[in-house]
Amino acid sequence: MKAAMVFTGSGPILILTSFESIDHPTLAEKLGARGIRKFVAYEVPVEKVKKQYGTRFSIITGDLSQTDDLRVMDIDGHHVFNSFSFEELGTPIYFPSPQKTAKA
Amino acid sequence: MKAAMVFTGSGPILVLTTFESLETPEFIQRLAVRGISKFIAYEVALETVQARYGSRFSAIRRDLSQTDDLRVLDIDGHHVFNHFSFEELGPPKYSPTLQGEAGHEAEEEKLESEWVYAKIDEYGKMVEASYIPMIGSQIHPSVLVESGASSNNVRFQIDDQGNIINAFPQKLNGRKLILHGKSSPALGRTDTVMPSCTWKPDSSGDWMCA
Repeated sequence: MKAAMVFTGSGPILILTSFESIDHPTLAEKLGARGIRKFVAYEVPVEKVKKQYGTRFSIITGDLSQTDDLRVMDIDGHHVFNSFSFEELGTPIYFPSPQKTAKA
Repeated sequence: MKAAMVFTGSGPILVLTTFESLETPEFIQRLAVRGISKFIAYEVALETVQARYGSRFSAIRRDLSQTDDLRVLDIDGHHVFNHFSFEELGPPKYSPTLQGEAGHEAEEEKLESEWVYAKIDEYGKMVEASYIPMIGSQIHPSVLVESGASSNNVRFQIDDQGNIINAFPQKLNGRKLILHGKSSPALGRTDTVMPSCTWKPDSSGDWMCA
């Protein structure tokens, strides 16, 4: 299981997922189905999320399928943003992935 | 001049600035006085912003001072986010403000001074002040007085970092007050003061740290 802070046009949300990585293409599809077609995602430590959200975390993980699933944990942008320090964020994953622009 | 997409807890905004870098303390302070104390900023090419925003860009740029200024160009998060591709963004710059403080809401102690009414001269020096020990203090960066006037009437409060807030004229917001006073140990400093207290007038007409 992985957790990620996902930046959208209306602020970050926190998600939990059973995809093996947060740059999995199907994860982007799942976010797309929720209206998020462009995002910057940072992986955050699951342990920190567990500690931060307690029972709420347990309920959400109880709903999460063993594989290839996604659950939204928190949609309060300010709360999500302030719940993690920048040191706790992984490398940013951009979707759609930036392409090297060919120069004429 | 630089342009930047600044991610906050409520979505990105687009700013124009004449600060040299998105990491200068003054730039960070300017965002802080607008309520943005934590952010991730990506520089965007000026030409790109100009091409996308046209006359709106020109109008905002006209208002921007030559140095050390910041203007918000767009606060519509979805609009900003979808207006630029990731290829057009520079590397992320992380604000230092809340590093190491995760897990706690940004419970900023909103320490503010009493209102200060003052006159400043053309160098940003306070020549009159409702709080006597502040006379001689300097507003930094300096601000020019209106043409034809030898001094400017201003009013403002300072926070616990010495930053000017709630100012009239508004162009003083985000500047620092470099205090030059005598009545209190904290105010006796001539460098930038960081009073960790709320300043209140005392019975003798001076201010005291409450």
